[in-house]
Amino acid sequence: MNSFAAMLKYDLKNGIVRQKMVYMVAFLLNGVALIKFDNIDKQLEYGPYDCLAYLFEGMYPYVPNVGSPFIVPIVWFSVMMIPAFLIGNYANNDLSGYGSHIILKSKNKSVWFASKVVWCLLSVIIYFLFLVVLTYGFSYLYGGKTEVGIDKWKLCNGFFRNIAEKDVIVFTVIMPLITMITCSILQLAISLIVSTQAAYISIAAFYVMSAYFTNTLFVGNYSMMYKNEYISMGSGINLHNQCIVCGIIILISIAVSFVVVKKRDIYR
Amino acid sequence: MIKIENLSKKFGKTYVLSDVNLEFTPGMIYGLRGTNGSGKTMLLRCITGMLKPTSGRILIDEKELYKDMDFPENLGMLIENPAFIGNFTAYENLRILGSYMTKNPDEIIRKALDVVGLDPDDKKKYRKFSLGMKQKLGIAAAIMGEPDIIILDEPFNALDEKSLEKVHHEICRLKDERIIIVACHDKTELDSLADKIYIVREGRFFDE
Amino acid sequence: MGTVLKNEFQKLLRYKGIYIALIIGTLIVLGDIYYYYSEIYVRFWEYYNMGYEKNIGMLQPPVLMESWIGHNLSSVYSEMFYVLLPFIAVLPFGVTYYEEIKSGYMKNVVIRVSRRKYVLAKYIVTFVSGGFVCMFPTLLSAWIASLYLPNIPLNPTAMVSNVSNMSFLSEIFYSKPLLYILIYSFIAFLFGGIFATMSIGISHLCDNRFFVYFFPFLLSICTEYIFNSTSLMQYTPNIVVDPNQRVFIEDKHIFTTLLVMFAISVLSCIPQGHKKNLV
Repeated sequence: MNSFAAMLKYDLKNGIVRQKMVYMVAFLLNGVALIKFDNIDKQLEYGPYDCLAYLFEGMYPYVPNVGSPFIVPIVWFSVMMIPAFLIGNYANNDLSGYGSHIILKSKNKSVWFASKVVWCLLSVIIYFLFLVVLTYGFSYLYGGKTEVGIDKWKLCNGFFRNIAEKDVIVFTVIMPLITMITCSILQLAISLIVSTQAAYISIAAFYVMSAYFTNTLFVGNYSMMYKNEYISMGSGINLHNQCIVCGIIILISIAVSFVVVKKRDIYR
Repeated sequence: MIKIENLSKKFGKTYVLSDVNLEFTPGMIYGLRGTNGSGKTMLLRCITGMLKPTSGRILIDEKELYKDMDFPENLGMLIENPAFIGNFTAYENLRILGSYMTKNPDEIIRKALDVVGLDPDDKKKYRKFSLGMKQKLGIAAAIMGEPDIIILDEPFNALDEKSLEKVHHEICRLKDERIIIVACHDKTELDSLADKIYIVREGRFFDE
Repeated sequence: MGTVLKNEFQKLLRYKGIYIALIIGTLIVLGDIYYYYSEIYVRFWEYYNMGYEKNIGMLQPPVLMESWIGHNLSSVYSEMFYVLLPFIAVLPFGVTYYEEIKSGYMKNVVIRVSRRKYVLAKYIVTFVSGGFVCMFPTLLSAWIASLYLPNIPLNPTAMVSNVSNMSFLSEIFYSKPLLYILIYSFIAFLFGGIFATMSIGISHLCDNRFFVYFFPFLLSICTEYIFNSTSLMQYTPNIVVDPNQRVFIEDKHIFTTLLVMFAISVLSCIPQGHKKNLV
């Protein structure tokens, strides 16, 4: 338990606190997006959940048609890809670096692996918290509202159905967060099993596929407002499947990567 | 001839080299001995053109380093860990470096590899080398083509006895008309090799 | 200089990065071709064989340009290729400069050959390799499509393209599609080369190999993100390199973007060629 706590503390310091550059990029990108959202209609007041809805709006279910080009929604894509930079090659580097000392001292690869999974989880949660704080700050300064609600976003998108407050929180916070966590754990698994580059390109391709295919298995769909069944009036994705699908992906990723790490040579 | 005049190097507020005045003439092997962190490697980095001194100057055959030239002409060096291309064999690595010196480097490569005890025809890639083999390749790269100035920083680490003897013998053979500077903290090894030894202590150099 | 270049090209061929990049590009092209064949080509002929040949004049028959990865508008593979292009460009040789600095190998080279020559050779080889792996899939896609589809210009009235008569190279697009493909393949080559060389510029500024790999990709996302829905949108590299021309593009947008990016990549490499501490 001591080894795990020590390892986790080290991971939090080196794997999160030192990633200042990534947070700066996230701040810049998301700040620019929020400025654009603010400019859409300056008369309308908005709150943090409007901002989150805008960042995670994505695109409507795409119907392949030679006359209508498929274009990845860049705002959504960028917000979802930033955690991939946070995950990066940290785990692989650590395994052949300081982590190898921890493994020797604790005589246990499981401790190292468990710490990495928790680190991955915390990285994404901290990034998301950072995003929420940014949207709160922005809407406090420019938006005029801090309550739960997405009135401006609904107006801008011509959507007039009522959405309960708890649903707003689920659509704009819970679902994107679960999706990010799932993809980050998947990325961690691929980076440990294959390589960092393969992991990154796989996640990027996965998000592009998620934008294209409105399919339960492409979990990126769950993070998009426009693909929400409730918002897209039935042509979107059933949200109740998210927990099951994401849970399965997380479990399989952790299980397979755990087995691989156990068998893997530390010094490749 | 290498002449070092009032050389100092500072990092932040710390002087790693302080007012160094030395002269190295061809035909001799110079040894630098000191504890870890005393400044041996720093001086060698300055002489090879890798690290610009804070003050002072280095003259090589009357030309000032960092002013009249960026690097000493005809230099071979092994400083810190040897580094080569992982996908290439020993021969292929030296062929790339040798091609910058001469059009047909085959002969000088084979000679250098033979001295250190590596097989020029071995197909093993560098990334699969042991530490000792990597060190041998580093030495081979430094002495390949018999340059006028040879700088070796801790060259004897990880070498087996037979290779140590061969390298020792080759360095002694090469010293005619060349300047050879060897940094080593092993007293026995340096005493048997060097004609003149400087003791390094906190960035300062003293005659033994 | 010839020797330095020759050595760098030899290194390029021994790195597996170039082969991985070509494989990724090929897989994307094959996916795209399969998508076009199964979703569009087969359906067109099913429709035709059902007896609707009288209505065919209103449709766009399958032609080479429609299948080409640079113009397959409804294909996920086409979009994926252009999204991943900055990353594919860096794979062959983009990170070797960084690796050679960090490992110390560069010291072995610069005492034997001028640092400027070494950096210039690195730049040339990185540019050529990055450009090649970006151009190769576009040419491969055109070649495979040409095996079973005619090279007939698209029907402008069928409205299956974003390229209007005011767009960049629209005359060539609607009269000589193969030439259009070649020109845009060359544009992909140039952008691929420039993206790849940006990793040289960043090598001295960062301590993380991963970041060097993904810097061009990050840069392309950032520029598209920031310029999206602004007046600078047409200067976004991702938009300019895309033959689909999903926004209205003129030649000045392409040339300006190319020039600016080329200037950035060259200027960021110039300090690498100058004398500075190598430790």
